[in-house]
Amino acid sequence: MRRLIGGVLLIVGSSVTLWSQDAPVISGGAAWVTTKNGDATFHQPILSPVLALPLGSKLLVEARGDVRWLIAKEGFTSGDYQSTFFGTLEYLQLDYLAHPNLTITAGRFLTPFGTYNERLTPVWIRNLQEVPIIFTIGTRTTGSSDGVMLRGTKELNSDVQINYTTYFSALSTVNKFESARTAGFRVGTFLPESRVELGLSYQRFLQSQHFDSYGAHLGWQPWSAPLDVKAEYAHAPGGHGYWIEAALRDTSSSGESVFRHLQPVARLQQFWRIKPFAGDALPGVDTQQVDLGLNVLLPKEVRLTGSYGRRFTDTVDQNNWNIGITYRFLFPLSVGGSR
Amino acid sequence: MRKKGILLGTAGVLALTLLMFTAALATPQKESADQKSNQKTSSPTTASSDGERKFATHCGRCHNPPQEVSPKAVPAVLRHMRVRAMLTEDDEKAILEFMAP
Repeated sequence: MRRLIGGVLLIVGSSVTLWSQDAPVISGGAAWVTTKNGDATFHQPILSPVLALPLGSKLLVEARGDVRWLIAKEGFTSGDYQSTFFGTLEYLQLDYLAHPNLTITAGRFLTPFGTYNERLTPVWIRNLQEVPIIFTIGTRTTGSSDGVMLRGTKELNSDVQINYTTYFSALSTVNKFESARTAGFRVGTFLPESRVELGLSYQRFLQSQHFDSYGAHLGWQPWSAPLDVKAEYAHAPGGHGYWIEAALRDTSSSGESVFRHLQPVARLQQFWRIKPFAGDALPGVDTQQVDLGLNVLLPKEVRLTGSYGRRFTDTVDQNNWNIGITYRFLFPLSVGGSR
Repeated sequence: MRKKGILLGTAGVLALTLLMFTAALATPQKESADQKSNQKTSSPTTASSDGERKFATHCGRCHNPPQEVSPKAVPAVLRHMRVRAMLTEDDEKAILEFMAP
């Protein structure tokens, strides 16, 4: 067995050395997040490593895993503490840069509906640790798809870029590779001079139930102020809603500004239930929520996060508290590397 | 529910306004990017200025800038970002020149 593992490592190592002109990179985040939703308190140690492995000048292998423990009392409110382990492979994909405006992706990838799932889910990136209420619209069942995706960006001129993503995902029940049968696309426009991005998403769910989901997203980081504004709207047969989030993002080089290390965040979201819809993982009733958070950026890529949210429904109102610490890591592997 | 909705909306708008006000007090980004460029290189080339501009334009859309990145890691990171963050090939090259000249 040792010889077999050694042989595999040797072959992989040789392949990487031969193929890769740029060093592979391991990056990702580690975090501890404690959440109190109403009377339920739970803790989550999280490790989320990312691999980026360039192969030659046209290929890239990307992978991200998510390993976490859910530590909570039995029934969340009373009893002894117990922990449950969750291990997830979020993506494992091969990207072929076929053309400056076309990348072909095969494998397991994050479902490109809106921008939250693809860009904002890493624990070290998200401004508030709790995902938006409408997150499951367009990303059911696991947030990941197994199949093929085409995507690219075209710069029309220095003021306008358009981007597109289209994909097909097969149904998979294979352990760690679960996905739903879906097809969809996302189109967007990015205006670099004003740092505004607008886009639309569509998805057709093609198993057991056939239905459409669609959404819109907005991102804005004005040059005149260190502000990061993001918003998304999504609609599914069971309900629809939106979230809008604003955060301070001071990336100035001046060390004097206190705001360089403090990041206040506010998020407002509303969801309207249209009808009961099995398995959509959305609230059963109309829901509104406001969250206020403060992140403290420390040296060495460490960040303290904290937030308070109040959720309103017809049946119950609830306080949501969240505190955590995140650490972002990034280092090249020793093989390859032209720089 | 309607009353709560109005309260919630008001709280949200107030919070967002407060945030924007706070943001207005902080340093404007465009100016600071130029300052940073001047600090990094005594005579910034067009390529590095373009790269820094593109770095500020694209990378800050999703996350805070990394505090430190090994130049050896930059090509793989940028190819990863080209796919994930929909960078153009030209943007990737310009940012690469800026981060790992």
